[in-house]
Amino acid sequence: MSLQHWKFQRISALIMIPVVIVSILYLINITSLSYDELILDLGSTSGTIIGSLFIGFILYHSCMGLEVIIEDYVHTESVQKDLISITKLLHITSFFMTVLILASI
Amino acid sequence: MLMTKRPISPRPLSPHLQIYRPQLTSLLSISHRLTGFALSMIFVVISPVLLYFLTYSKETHSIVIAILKNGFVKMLFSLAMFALIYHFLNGIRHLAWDAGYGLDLDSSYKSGYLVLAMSLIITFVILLLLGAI
Repeated sequence: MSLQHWKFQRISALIMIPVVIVSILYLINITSLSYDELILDLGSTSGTIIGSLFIGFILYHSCMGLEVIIEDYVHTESVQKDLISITKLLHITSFFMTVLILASI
Repeated sequence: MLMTKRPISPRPLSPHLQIYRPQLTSLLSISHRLTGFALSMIFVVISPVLLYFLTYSKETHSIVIAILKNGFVKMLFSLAMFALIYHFLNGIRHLAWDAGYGLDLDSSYKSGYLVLAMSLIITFVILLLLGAI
C-alpha cells in the first residue's frame, strides 16, 4: 500500500515536469491576450481538455503530497484518516469546479 | 501502511529538531514540504477562483487584472512563483535521489546550492517575462 503510494507519487512527480513547463509558458503567452482572445483560447475544446487534464494531474500530485505530510505529522489515527478523507474530498471538489468553469467558458 | 498502530511508548523520537543544527540539506528538505503545502492551497483554492473571475465576464476579468497589478499582490505572486520553481527544481533533485544519483553528502550540498541559485534566476526571468517586475 505504502510502496504503491510511493510509486504513484513519483510517477505523478515525473508528469509534473512537462505540465509545469507548459503551464508557465502558457501563462507567459496569455498575459498579452485580451479578454475575448482569452475566452476563445481557454473556451476551445482543446483548451478545456488540456486545462482539465493539467489541473487533474496537478491536484492528484497535490493530494498525494498532502497525504504524506498528514501521515507524518498527525499521529492520532482517527484524526489522520479523517484529515486525509477531507483532503481528498477538497481536491475532488476543486477538480470538478475547475472542469465546470472551463466547460462553461 | 506497515504499522497501523503506532506505539505510544515514551521512546525518544529522532531527529530532535529543537537541538538539531539547521543545515542546508535539512532546510531544503522542510522547504520542499512547506512550498508543496502552499502550492496545494494555491491550486485547490486560489486558482479555481482566479479562473472563474478571469473568464466570467469582461468586468470581472478587468477587476482581476487590476488586482494583479497591485504591488502587494505582485509580491505575493512572486513568492508563489518562487515556491513553484523551487518545488519543481528540488523535486527533480528528489527524483534523481530516488533513482540513486547524487546521494553522497558532497553532491547533496552541490545540488542543493544549484537548486537555490537556479530557482532565484528562473523565477526572476519568469517574473520579467510576465511583466510582474
